[in-house]
Amino acid sequence: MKFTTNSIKSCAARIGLLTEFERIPNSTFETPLVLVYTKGGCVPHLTKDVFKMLTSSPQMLSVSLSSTYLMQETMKDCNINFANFVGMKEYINFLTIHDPASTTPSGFREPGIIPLWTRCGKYAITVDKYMDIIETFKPDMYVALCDGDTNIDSSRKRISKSVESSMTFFEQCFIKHSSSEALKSSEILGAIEGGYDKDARTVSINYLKTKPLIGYVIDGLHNNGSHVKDIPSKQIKDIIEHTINLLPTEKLKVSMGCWNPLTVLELIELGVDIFDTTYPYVITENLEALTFLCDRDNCNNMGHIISFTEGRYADDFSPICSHCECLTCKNHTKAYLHHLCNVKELLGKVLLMIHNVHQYLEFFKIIRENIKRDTLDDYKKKINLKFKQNNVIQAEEEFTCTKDTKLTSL
Amino acid sequence: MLQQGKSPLLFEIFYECKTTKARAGRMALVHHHVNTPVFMPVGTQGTLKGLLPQQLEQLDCQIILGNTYHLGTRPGINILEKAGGLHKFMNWKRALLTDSGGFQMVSLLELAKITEEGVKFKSPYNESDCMLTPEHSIQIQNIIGADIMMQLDDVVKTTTTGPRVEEAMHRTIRWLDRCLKAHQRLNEQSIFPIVQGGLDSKLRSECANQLIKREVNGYAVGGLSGGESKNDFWKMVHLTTNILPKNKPRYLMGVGFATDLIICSALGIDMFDCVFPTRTARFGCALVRTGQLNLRQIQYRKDMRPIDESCECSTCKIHTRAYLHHIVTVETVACHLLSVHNIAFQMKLMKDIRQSIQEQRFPEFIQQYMLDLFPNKEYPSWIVDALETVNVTLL
Repeated sequence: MKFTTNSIKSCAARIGLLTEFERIPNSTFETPLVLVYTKGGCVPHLTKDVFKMLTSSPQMLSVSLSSTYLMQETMKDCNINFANFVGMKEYINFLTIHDPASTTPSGFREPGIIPLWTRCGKYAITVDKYMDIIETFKPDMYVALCDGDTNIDSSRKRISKSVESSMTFFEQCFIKHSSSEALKSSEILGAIEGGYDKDARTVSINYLKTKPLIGYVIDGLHNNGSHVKDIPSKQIKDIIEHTINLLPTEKLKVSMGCWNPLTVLELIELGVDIFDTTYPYVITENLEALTFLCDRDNCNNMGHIISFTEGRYADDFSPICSHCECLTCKNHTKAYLHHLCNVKELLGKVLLMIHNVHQYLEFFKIIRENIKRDTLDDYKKKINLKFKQNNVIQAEEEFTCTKDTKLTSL
Repeated sequence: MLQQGKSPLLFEIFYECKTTKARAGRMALVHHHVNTPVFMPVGTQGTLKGLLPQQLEQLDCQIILGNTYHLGTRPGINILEKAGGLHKFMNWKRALLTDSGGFQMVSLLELAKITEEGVKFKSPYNESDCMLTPEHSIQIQNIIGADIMMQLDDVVKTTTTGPRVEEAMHRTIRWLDRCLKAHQRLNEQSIFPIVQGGLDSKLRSECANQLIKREVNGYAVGGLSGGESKNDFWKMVHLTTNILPKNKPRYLMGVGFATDLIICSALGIDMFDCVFPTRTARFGCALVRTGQLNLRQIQYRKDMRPIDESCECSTCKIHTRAYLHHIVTVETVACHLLSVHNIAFQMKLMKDIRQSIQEQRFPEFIQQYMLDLFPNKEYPSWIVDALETVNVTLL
């Protein structure tokens, strides 16, 4: 696998190219890239044939060990790699430890292990165990075992512990990786830890930047889950800038998690190359549809999101967005989606997932075009407006509500 | 056919089995044609358990069901009317059939009471008194706009005996006439009467004989598949199809197990429906010729075969039992994958039935099927008896 970028300035939006994948040699991906989030080997709610209706282009999938760990014994005994076992062999996969869509419980630390949370409880993962699993999965890319259990509230002691043990984990993983015959076609990435502590980040970076790696995962900023979308950009901007400034420009930078689109744009402007579709998945689980790409001039969607729990869509026979090219918008109305969500039918989330993932793939396409045209800043302003619009609407609604309550109380 | 306008249902029988009462034909409906004998999957609330209309077309479904009671409650008739009917609301371009709403009311609502006027019930939402009359049922079904509608019938539990069965049978006939009178879209939709009469041959015959005097495009056999013995079940089907006119389609309500589909096709039934294939999918069960696989079971953990090696569905082409075992009841995708397979299974079975009727080898098809199902030839006696009456002796 190879990553190339024309960027010479660190901390700037850039276009890159991922090529020469061992398993699928003719696959190429342009960055900034969004990985398609999977859980249990599948894109949530979408069977493979439906996923193919959503996109016919090559895609890279993000896979979490926590949602697939229970499959590893079968895979090992049957001598089958992950891509083949889940029936997704035509897609490149990237394995992470935790599920970015659900909150990773903090704590439960013991020396030499990482707690892995599965639906059947907690498993203690050592380096040996981890690399054994990796040899079974044979992912195209994966992150070395790391302790990313830090966030904005972490103590200095916790942060330094996470940096320290992650370095030890990496050292051991890398030795095993380098000598493994089974992992000849897999790329290992190092996780930069250090929470929000610049000194700790520096230690982590100084250790990893000497290693012959294709890139890094910027980890330790949050504990995953849907609340990541509420982290304001300004909270992470400084520490990301510090991190990327110290990392070699030409290397790949990955940031997983449910970042909202505004934060994604900020991170791209700082030089992050790879994200994942946790955000549209979380939005789907909330029975919401993304509308932030809608053009303001000829579309009724003022805000960045619409929620199908709202009764106002019950008799709205227009699509989510009249300009959207997705299968959902081409075939179904808001009224139908509202009905499906209202009666809790499975098809509701299928259709929302199709729309939301489509929107996100489009979002990244538009971002790349804007970087190439050097207009990302204007685009960012436009998207920002969409999000502000929603807040305005919400504020107005709250205002009307309070007015109504006042009227009734009178 | 009738002189007035074009008929919303034209039924043609292409092949008749020379041994059994089975027939293979085609119904031309307003939205789509339907090859018979047909199995109709149930899409209760305007959707078929997580599958896209495109997937149903790929599975070769030509007609699906909607439930009037559920649709009338949510999204409600106003919304469906504004949408221009259920076809447009759910974007399903092929044929639809709706039930009358009566069965669900009686089975779902404890407080439902049947009077001559209609079914009286308390709204599950606001406790107010409501009444579903035959006229009201047809009015709702006219708005939903399905190609085939069901008359409101007086439903009694299948195992009920005594005067209540007779009363229900007579009332069903009276309600049919009210339904036919209320019907507003004669050129687009057909009403099927429902033969009732419990497990009493005399009442069944009387009901069927009364109903065939009405000018309709097809008939349903109701009140079966509700916990009665298989012996009673097939006899009622046999008796009813003997009375119903040959040139109209016959629909056996609520039947969908593979064995029942084969035997009742042999007894002259053309249409079937059942929630079973999609319901069992949600519980992690996959249909195969010899029964069903419960994929939650530990024995499938390392089973690298598809559900069925000979199945052409996308689930069997892509996934193993082992993978499905790991995601059943965890990921909604598992449910979709099993629904795809189970519907494909039903469609394939019906296609095999139609083809063997066409090629005049339906009796051999039945013999082989039953032998595969009971390799030690310990056939249940009802199967042996039912098939004997249509001149098929098992191997």
